[in-house]
Amino acid sequence: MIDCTVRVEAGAAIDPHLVEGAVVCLAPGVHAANLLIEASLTLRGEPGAVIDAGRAGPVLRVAGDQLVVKVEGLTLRGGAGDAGGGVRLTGWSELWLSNCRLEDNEALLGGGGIGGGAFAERGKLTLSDCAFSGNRARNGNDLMANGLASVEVNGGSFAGDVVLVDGVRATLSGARVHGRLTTRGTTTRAPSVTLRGTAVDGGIDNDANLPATLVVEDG
Amino acid sequence: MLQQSTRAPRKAKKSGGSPEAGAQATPDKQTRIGNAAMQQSVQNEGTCAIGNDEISSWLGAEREPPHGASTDGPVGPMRPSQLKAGKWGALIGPEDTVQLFAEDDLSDASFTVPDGKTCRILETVADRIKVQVRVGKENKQGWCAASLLSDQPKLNRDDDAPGLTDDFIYAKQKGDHSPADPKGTDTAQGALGDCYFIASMAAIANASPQVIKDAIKYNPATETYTVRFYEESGWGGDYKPVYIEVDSYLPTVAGNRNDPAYAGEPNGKMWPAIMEKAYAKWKGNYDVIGNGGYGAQSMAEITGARSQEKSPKSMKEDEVIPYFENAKKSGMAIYAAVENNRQSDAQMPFRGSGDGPLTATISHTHRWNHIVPGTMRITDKAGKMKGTVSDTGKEGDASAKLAGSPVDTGTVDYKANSANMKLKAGQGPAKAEDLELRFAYQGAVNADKLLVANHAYAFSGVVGGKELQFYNPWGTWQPKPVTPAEFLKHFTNISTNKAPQGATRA
Repeated sequence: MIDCTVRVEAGAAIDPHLVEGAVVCLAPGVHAANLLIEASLTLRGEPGAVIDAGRAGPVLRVAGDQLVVKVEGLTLRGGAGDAGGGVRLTGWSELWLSNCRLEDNEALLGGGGIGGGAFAERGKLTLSDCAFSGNRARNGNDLMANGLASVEVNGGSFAGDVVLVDGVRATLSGARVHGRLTTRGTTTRAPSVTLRGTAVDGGIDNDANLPATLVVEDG
Repeated sequence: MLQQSTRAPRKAKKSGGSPEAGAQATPDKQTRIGNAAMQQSVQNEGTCAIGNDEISSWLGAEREPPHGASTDGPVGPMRPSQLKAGKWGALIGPEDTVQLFAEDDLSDASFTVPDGKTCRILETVADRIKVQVRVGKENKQGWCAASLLSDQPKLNRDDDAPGLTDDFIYAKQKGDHSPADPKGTDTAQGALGDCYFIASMAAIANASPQVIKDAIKYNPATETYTVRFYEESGWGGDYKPVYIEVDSYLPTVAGNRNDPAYAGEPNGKMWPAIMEKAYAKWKGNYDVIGNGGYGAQSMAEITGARSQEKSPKSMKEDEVIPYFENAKKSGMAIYAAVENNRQSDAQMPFRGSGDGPLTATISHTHRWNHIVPGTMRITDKAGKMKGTVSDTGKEGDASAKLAGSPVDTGTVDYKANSANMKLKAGQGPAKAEDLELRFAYQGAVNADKLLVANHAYAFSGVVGGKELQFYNPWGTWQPKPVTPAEFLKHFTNISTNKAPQGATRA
């Protein structure tokens, strides 16, 4: 594991340290921030580290291209946005979240809102052993991906719903979706979704008229 | 009221239904459609995505009208070429009502529905279909001729949500066929949670009206519209055009066939409603686009150029006006959102005695405000009631149960702002006024300026060089100009989009 290039105490500003190649380690405690990340870097939480956006926007956004952003061991909460209250990936970049908790984030725009916990439109979102709970949205309260996003889920759990639509490519391996999984294409393309050893307690809604290519393996 | 505050208040409210359960996909189903297949779909479905080199001839006057429509007589609604169980549409015939039958040979007349009623196919036999329609607050089934089925997007009133009344039907609308001079003020959101899309259309009409003009073509022979959107096709930001064909039948409020239920016609312009319908058809149905969305994405889908995001928090007060002035000069469409701004309140609203029933009428400081479901906490300041009572609701719920160790039974009605509960024996407070209710609410973030939380706005212009004017896609409740300080305080997201130079129909 790469050593921290900087350690940020709770209460101190994180933004100035979000520079190319940084490994920003967050000390235990609540860090009030909503971050727009524009460089390839790692955000690492020490046990008990929380980023709380205080409803001032998404907790973490990656909108630029060709970035690799890694988020490890953090709780991301209190985010809000029209899409992706917790994390929002809209650039052609890679966003990796591992051993993270996404809690109490919401996307409630216009009486609706998509991807309360996480939203991806482009790039690749990888979630490894992450737990989603208490997130709110009308469409995908834990996770929504559309456009041409690629989503890879390895382990972890979603207390709510997951929505994978449009031209998304997604693989969920060894994960548990306590809510519902919704898949749906458009009239011009369809998502491709593979469930590998993944339980979906709330059932799968694969649109009858615009279905995804859905492959279920080992469960 | 929960959703009326973030939708156009002039229209009825949408319910919070769950997505329609569908069959699982066939694993080997062909889902990626090549150009040839898409061209075929033009003829078959009226919805297609084809290349630039193919669209010119397709749009030419020589082409055959789709869907078997005749150019000799009155042109009816679009008809699907394929009928299958699970498909949604509307029953549209020559009369004011459509007769449904109990038997598949169309014997034993069962009940009638208004012409334009939406339905879902349950079964097909030869040239007949068995459909499910919503009548009042219940679903009914019956048989009719397959030729009555029109290819229309599913409405957000077709949900199986308990208590939802079927009050929308499809009806043919007449109006301005081509957007000669589109303006942001032509748009008005209806009873659909798609403010992000309406605001996107408004922002682009303000900045690049030519994009809107070029996006919609009226086909008089078939009385249909071809609407162009763009779909991002991969890394590098390439967008390819997508052409969606729709007719002029729009969801209307039952009892008034001239009152569109969704995007309205404040200036007698049809283009926003046509564009909204085409967007719904492309994405699946009105339900799909009516549960919120992402304005940066929908602007790009209209212009074919990727949107850029900016966080107001990164701006200084003196940078705000120059930023918007420069954006306006450069022809940039700007969409801005007030994304959350949740606030909290504490009240002692309960009345009653003993273990109950205890009832509460919850008051708000502004009529736009509404309780955020799942945030209510009721405690006894005097400590006689042990434990906390919470609501079990989630976003979109109209009502929910109250739960917690002291509760026997309890409910909250978020629309009526009322709660009532009966506590377990001996748990009642010394007096009802000891019960304190804490909850989070959303609504008016700045009542003086008419700014609403969780809502999207289209930038209109700079007023007097020192304030910003935004357009509310509701078409009403227009905000007053805001100062840079007010903008930075209330707005949490800006998305900009600049249409490519010379963007015209291929």
